[in-house]
Amino acid sequence: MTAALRYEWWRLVTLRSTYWLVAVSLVIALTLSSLIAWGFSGVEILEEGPDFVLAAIATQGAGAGFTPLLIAYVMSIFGILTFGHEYRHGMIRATLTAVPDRLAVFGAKVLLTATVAGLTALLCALLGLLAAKVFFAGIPMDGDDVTRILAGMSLYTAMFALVGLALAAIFRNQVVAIVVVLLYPLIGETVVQLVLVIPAPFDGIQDAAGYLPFDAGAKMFTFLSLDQALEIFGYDPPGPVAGGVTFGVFTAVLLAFAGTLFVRRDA
Amino acid sequence: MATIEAQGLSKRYGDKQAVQDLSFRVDPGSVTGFLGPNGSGKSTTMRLMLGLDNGQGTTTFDGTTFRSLRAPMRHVGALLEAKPFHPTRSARNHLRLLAAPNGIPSTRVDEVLDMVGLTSVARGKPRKFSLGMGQRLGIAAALLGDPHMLILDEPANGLDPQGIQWLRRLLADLAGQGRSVFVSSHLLAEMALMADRLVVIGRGRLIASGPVEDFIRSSRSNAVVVRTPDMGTLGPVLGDRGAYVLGQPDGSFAVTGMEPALVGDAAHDVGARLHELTRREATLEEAFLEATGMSEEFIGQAGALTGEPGSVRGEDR
Repeated sequence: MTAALRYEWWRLVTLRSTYWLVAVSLVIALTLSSLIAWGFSGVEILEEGPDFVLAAIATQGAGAGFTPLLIAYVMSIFGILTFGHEYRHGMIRATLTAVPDRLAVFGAKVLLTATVAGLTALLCALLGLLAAKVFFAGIPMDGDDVTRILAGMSLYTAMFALVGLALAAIFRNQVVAIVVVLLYPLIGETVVQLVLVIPAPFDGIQDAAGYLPFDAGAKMFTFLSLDQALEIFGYDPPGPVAGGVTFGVFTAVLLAFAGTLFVRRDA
Repeated sequence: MATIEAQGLSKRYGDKQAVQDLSFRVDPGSVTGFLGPNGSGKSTTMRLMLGLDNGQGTTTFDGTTFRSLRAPMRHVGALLEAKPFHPTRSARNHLRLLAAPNGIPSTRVDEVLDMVGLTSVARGKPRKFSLGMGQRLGIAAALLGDPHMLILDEPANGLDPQGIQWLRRLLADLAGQGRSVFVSSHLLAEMALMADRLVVIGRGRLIASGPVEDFIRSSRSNAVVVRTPDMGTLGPVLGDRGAYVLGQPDGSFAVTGMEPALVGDAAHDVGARLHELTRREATLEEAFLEATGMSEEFIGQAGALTGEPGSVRGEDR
């Protein structure tokens, strides 16, 4: 395993894409968080609202349901390239002649992808909190909220990147994986959720909407979202832990499938 | 010891049997050429040997399968057909990447870059490399761990004549140091100069394996060239003694199935004048075409293009 980790580490630090994807995430975080903090700074915050305002600033809008978590999408591309590059350039044969233990190769990729994506998200969240402090001096910062934002954003981004990695390993094609990762959570889940929750025919199974993996996972760092509007239809959204577990199980199943294929298929 | 031993290698792609029950050995101190027509399963065999493809059979390198080797590049150097590198990772970084998990120091990276003549472009992006430069980088990667066994798929591809000559000397040197070199090539003239031994396959099956000379000697194209104004008297005697005589367009005769000395004796016995009596050795190409003729996948198409199948080598009949 150490050989595989050493290989994967060298692979990442000798690729330009590693640097620019992390840089893009940090720039997005700093710019959007500063803009949102600056925007909110002129608004008088009601007593019950400061947690979602803080979340909105620290998560570049995602914690208050303004946008999806953009940096998670950027880091999912990082995850996709982990296998995408192997297949696009035929590197996989070089990789497996340098490190023939396929399970170790797969494990090292999972470990380092999750670590880089998670740490990048943590940095982005910290930059967001810093922006909140700088542009919105009076904002209250509850320790529990801060912990939830930092942990939720890091875990979600790490798992999102692993979903990208798994899809690229399954399809062995980075373009297909990118299309799926961009379209399914943004369009697919939103449509399914609305169809399940709003019209009458699905009354009995509307709670199934709580198991849509990406939406469920986002509960880890959202303090306000579309769910509040959907609650009038009787929809009971999952909490941060339940949502995180749902997304975690989804990611683990996808990784297990991808790993099995990777070990069994011809390189 | 640096023996490569393949046992019962087989691989199917759907209905197509790409490799079937292939067994052979590559001994230390030899360059063993791997020959076969296009699509005969050479690359598949090499991928099977390295555990890149899943199939039946085992290949051991000094008794251990590739997947069980620790620091595999220190034991087996491999070059496979595709250009396996990222277009924007510099040549030097590509090699350092491969060196890292195998515990190979970075001083060795600079050493192999020098060996293959890529030092001046060590920091260059492989995207801008010519086919030959890409091939040299692949050879550098194979040599990186100073391995005692090498598996090279078409290493001469894309190399210029100087490059091919360099490669030939390199492989001879490596074999001379007691390493095992297993190399495929479709350049038969090159292979004749490069290899000591051969493994010949057709349609995924073993056709021949052994020393190059034995393989060539087995060809029917080996003949004794005879020039005589008295074939009228000599011919029947040669026929009686088991030889086969075929007239050549230049007026000479090709005698097969008899040693030159016995042809000379026969001529003496019947008083025939001999103006020429020489041994004509088959080339590796002739021996190869003859050996793989029956298993050439595309022979039907080739025949259709040139008329009657086999008419291309009509003089042999």
